[in-house]
Formats: sequence, structure tokens, C-alpha cells
Amino acid sequence: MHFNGDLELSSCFVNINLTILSPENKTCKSDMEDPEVIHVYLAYQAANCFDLLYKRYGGKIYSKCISMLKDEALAHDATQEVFTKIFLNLSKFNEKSRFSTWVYSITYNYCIDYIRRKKKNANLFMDDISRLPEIEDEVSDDEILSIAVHQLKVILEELDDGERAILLMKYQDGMSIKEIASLLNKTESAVKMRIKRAKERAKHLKQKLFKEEY
Amino acid sequence: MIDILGYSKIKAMNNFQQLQNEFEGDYERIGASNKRSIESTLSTFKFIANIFEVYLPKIGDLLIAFAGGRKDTSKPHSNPSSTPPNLQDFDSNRNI
Repeated sequence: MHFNGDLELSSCFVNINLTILSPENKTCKSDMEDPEVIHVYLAYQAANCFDLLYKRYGGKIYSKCISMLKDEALAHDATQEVFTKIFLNLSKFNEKSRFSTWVYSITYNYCIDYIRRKKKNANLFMDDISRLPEIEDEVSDDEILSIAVHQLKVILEELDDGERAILLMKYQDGMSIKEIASLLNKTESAVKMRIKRAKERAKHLKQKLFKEEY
Repeated sequence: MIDILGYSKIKAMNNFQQLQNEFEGDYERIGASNKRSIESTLSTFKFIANIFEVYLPKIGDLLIAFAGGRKDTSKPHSNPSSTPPNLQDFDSNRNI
């Protein structure tokens, strides 16, 4: 068999280079899934991958920050810091969970730490049972999800920081009990109890604040 | 039917997600300036990391020199005319 080494070897290198460095692989497309975008960003630091992730998550991070911190200026700064943190640690994302869950965990942890520092080490998720009202019947998810958006905005502002965070995690981000428990470093039963209490408080607040709308 | 206002999307979201959507809309006003400052922070970090990557080995040599040591030059250089081990078979095939 004739083997033209020089030609085959050089064409082989050209093929490899074309595959790895082809312009299509160096950019991110809007229909790409998050893990794919992250891989391309880590490999090529492509600016449009950054743009894409910012477009997908910038607003969501801001929304969580403003819900938690209740201040526009603080929320802007927090969004910047959280996003910077995410990009500096992007290589540590291990794909064991959804990228969105990872992003929201960083956001909530940042906000919780900020509130703790501000309130001088207040424990947002303390298990002080005596402080909490007695639960009669459990409030159903439908009852919580039927609150009008303008009412919900006011109710969330009135809730404690911990209660607000836990309701956002469950209903806004669709996080599972297990995911919330690992984020807050609590047991699953403690999280379930916290959600129950937060739902009850939200129901009471709705009845108290929007009496005339009944 | 054409869904001009994205009504079906809003309908599919629960009240918490609709609230999030409202906040996201507010963020669009200032999103661009925030993005620029994030990009500049990231490029500063990248610049510092590059400096470390390039100059850290040199700093090591410099410290060795200051301590009175010398860079190890006793390692023999490879013969530039020799064939790399993985291409030996390739060369023998070529002669056939």
C-alpha cells in the first residue's frame, strides 16, 4: 500500500485545526443549552457567550436581589457582584444540578449573607418554634398561587427575609425541597416546616392587608 | 392565532414568576450599563491573571538568583537532528 506520509499527516493536522477552531464552534447560538454555552465560553472566552448568559440570567438575578434586599441601588450592586462571582467560578460548575439552580443558589447566598451582615449575624432561618404561630390547616399551593401579583408584591415585602426567600425558591424557581435544604444547610423536614409557616403567614397577611378586596 | 402580546406565556407563568417578569422588565433600563461594568471587572481579573501566568515563573527564577542560586542548566539538550520517538515507525514506513 502506498502511503504518502507528508501529505496525509499535514492534511490530518489541517482537519483537526478546522474542527476545533472553526468559527461556528467559537461562538454561542441563542438556541444552545446552558452547559453548551458554558463549555464554549470556557474554551474560547467568546464575548457572545457572556452576552447570552447575561441576557438569560441578568434580569432574573436582579429580580431575586430586589425581592430580597428591597432596595434598587443595593439590588444593582448585588447583581453585578453575583454575576462577576458566577463568571469567576464558572469552571467550578459541575453540572450535577441545573445551571439555573446553581446561579440562584449563589444569588440567594449572597443576599442572605448581606442581610446577616447588615443585621449583625441575625439567623434568617432559625428554628425558633415558639416565635411562630400555630398552624391550623395547611394552606394549599393553589391558595398561594391565586394571590394577585400586586398583592403578592406587598405580601413579600411584609414577610420576614427567611420566609420570603423560601417562598421564592419554591414557587418562583421551582426548586425541590432537597435543593432548598442543601442550599440552606437544613434538613428536609425543617424546610417543609418553614414553607408551611411561610404560606400561613402569607395567607394571614393577605387577609389583613387586602380586607376590602375580599 | 398570533400571540402578539405573549399572553399565552404570561398565562403559563404563576404569580411569583409574573412578579419576576415585572422586575426583569425594570432591569432592562439599566441592564446595559451594569453589563459594561461586569465586563470591565472581568477583564481586569483576566489581565491580572495573565500577568501572574506570564511573570510568576520568572519571579521564581529571580528569587533563586537573589538567594545566590543558579538556574539548573545541567540537563542535556535534545539533539535537533534526531527523530522524535513517535515518528520512528512512520519514517521506516516511508522508506518502503
